[in-house]
Amino acid sequence: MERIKLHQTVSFRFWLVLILLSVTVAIPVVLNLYSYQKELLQANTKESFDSNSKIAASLVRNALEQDDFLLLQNYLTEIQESGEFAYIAIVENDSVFVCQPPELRNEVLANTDDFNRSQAKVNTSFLSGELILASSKEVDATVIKELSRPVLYLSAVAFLATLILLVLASLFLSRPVLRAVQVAKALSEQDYEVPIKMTKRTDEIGQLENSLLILRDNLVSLKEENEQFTDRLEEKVRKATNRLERKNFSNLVLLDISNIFLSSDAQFTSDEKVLAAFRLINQAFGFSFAAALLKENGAVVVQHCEGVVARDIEQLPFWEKMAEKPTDGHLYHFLVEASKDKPEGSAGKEQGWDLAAYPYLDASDRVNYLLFEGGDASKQELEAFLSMYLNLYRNFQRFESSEEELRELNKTLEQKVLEKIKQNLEMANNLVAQDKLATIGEMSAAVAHDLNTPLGAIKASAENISYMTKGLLEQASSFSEGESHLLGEMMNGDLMLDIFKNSRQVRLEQSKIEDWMTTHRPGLKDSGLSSALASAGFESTHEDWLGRICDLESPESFIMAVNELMGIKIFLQGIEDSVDKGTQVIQNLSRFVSEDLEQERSEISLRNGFEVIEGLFRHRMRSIDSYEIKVDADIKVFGVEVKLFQLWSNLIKNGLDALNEEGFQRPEGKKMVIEAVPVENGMVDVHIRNNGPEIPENIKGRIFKKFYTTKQKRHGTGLGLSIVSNLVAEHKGEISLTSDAEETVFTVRLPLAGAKEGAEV
Amino acid sequence: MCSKFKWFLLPLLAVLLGASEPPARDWSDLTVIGSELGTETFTYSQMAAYLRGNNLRWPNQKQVVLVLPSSDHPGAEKVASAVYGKSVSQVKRYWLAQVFQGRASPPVYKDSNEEILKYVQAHPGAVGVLVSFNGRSELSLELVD
Repeated sequence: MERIKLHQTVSFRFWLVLILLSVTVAIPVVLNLYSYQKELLQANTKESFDSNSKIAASLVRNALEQDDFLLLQNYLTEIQESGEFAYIAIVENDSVFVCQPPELRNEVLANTDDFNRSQAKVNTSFLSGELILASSKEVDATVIKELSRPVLYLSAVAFLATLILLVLASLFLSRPVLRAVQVAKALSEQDYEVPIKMTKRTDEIGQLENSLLILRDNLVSLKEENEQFTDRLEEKVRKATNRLERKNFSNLVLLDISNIFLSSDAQFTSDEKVLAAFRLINQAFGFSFAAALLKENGAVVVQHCEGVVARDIEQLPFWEKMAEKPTDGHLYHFLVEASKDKPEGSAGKEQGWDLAAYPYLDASDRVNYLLFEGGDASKQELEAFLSMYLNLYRNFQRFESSEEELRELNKTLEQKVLEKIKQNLEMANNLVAQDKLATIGEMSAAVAHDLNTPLGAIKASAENISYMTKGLLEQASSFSEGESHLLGEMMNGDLMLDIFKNSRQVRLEQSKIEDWMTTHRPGLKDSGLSSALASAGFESTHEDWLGRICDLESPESFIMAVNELMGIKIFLQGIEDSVDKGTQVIQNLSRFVSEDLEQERSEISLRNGFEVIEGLFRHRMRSIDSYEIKVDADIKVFGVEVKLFQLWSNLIKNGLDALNEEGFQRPEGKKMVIEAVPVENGMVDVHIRNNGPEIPENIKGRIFKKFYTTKQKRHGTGLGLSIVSNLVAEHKGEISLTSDAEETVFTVRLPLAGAKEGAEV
Repeated sequence: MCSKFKWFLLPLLAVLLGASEPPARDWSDLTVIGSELGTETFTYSQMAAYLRGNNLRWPNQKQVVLVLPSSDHPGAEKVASAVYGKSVSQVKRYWLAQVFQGRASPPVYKDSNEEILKYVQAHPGAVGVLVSFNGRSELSLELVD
């Protein structure tokens, strides 16, 4: 609190001016007084001298006439001790008979103006002359000066005393006023603890102090009443809030508008849309309100929307009650029980609102503000109601700005759409390529396995061939020309013998060969040749070869050579098959990744596709208990093989991921089944079933969206099913999903090849 | 010049006159009495000095109080002539000058010898001059040359 200095007070300045005036007046007065005093003293001195000199002369003359010199001596002593006379002399015949003091004898005769003189005749028996008494004017002046000096001193002292008294008087008046000002300022700053020093004075200051004391007490009382009122209001608000919540006031939004509606906005006063909105609200609530809102101390102030509300507000039901319209511009305390005055059927009535409205009138009897208080209606109700106004207004504002933005956007929309489509296509292609690369990565293990197996077989076959070739050459070195020729025929011919038959099969064939020998070569029946032939893979059906071997000189050695030869042929065939398998794996992989095939449309066998995929994912198939393809080989669709590979592989991979989800178990075993079922309209439904965990209902709709995945990060990119959805669409097909606790089924419906022209991709 | 010369000569003349001793023969009809003066024997010149106011204290340091016959006393002229060498009027003028100048206390004038005697007896340090006194007093002082 700023403290007022003494010199800043009005009373101090008043007294300062008074002091200055006093100085300007007092000094001439004192000087004149001093001068007057001096003159008065001079007059008194002269008069006193005349009187005293007469008395002294009379006494001296009397003593002389009586010849009483003792008495004379006493008189003279008194005269001298009085100090009033500069000298006393007796002049006789123009000469000085005696003079006291003697040194002024000459002065007696000179009679200068420096002395006042008094003369008296003296006539005795021994003397006849004049007694002269004189006083010094200089001494008189000194005396007068000495006597006058106290006047100056007294004047100065009086003046200083006056000054001190004035200052004290100023303080006497100023300090209580200052204290009163301090107290008043403190009270204005709501410091009700400020001490008020009572001086027990009965003058205006005392009354002022007493008034301040009463004022402070009243303010404290008002503050307490205000706090109590606030508490009651808060209690009402709380109750009303609870009631509002119970009423399920769903069409209003509760908003705290304390930080929102702090400024008035007059721009929309001419906005017809806002006015229309207000009228709608007014119809709903049976009131006319304004737009810009303020909120103070728990009450809501609605600023008048000039030209609109002034007209509408007169139509308010409570307006008629305002019989005494104030003209002084002060707040007109007019309580409206809204629940009573609002028309039946209005929203406020239905909600049982109890509103108090305080129209604020200016000097021209125009309503500028409406101050609302919640009677039984809570602050939240008011806020909700009024916030709806503001939301409407803001929506209109946003709508206007949005319209402008929309016009601007429309100008460039086409170009932007084309650019966006282009970007999306590029992005889609990139995503498909990424997904394909991810699939290839997952297939790499299977590819490596598929290549390692035939390579291992080739290696083993080559080693066997090397060993058998060595035995064959040893056998063949002793062959005759005929035996060598026959061996050459068997090597180059189509004859293939199963040299890996089991013992039962060998015994069976041996029996059949013995039967043949009984008929055609009876002499060899018991030679044991039948056993060698059966062990070498010959059968009774090889009659031509059996006859020619039986006719050789040493058929046993030849049969052993044939056995070696057949082994070599079998292993060569195995090598060829292994190479074919490796080639097939590489071809499949090439078909999956070849860009050249991406646009090539053809009739595609569904079964072949699934088998290829099975081969590529064989390593992952081992993690489940059953994988079954129930697809007829003749079911074909028309499309791009590479894209269909990607489609099926994504669905199968997704199923495998679900079955291998961490912690998931199926006591009956994890299964995946691929089915293809032709349906009407030339379509085929491909069901990819697995008995993995159920897909929750809430994510079924999002599962085909891009970047959505329920898998852990290392397993899912969130692209697979999105690409599947796109690929199905490219093939004019549809995809659907059903999932429950038992199984999850992705169903892809595709047009069958030949049903129409096929799906154009 | 004349005036300055006059003021120079007059004091000198007065000093010369004042310093001259009175003739001793004139004291024959006079009786000097005194009370508690410290001594009873004085020379004429000593006593004359006391009576003229030249000495203000007696040998015993008592103040000198002169008691002289008044102008109504028959022996006033005798005393004036014998002690001061002046007339009665001149003696008064003499004592007026002395009093004015504060040189001495003035004498007490009595009209008869009895009054003088009585006064001296009553006042220690007082010295009186009796004229034609035929009686005998214990206060009489012896004056010698």
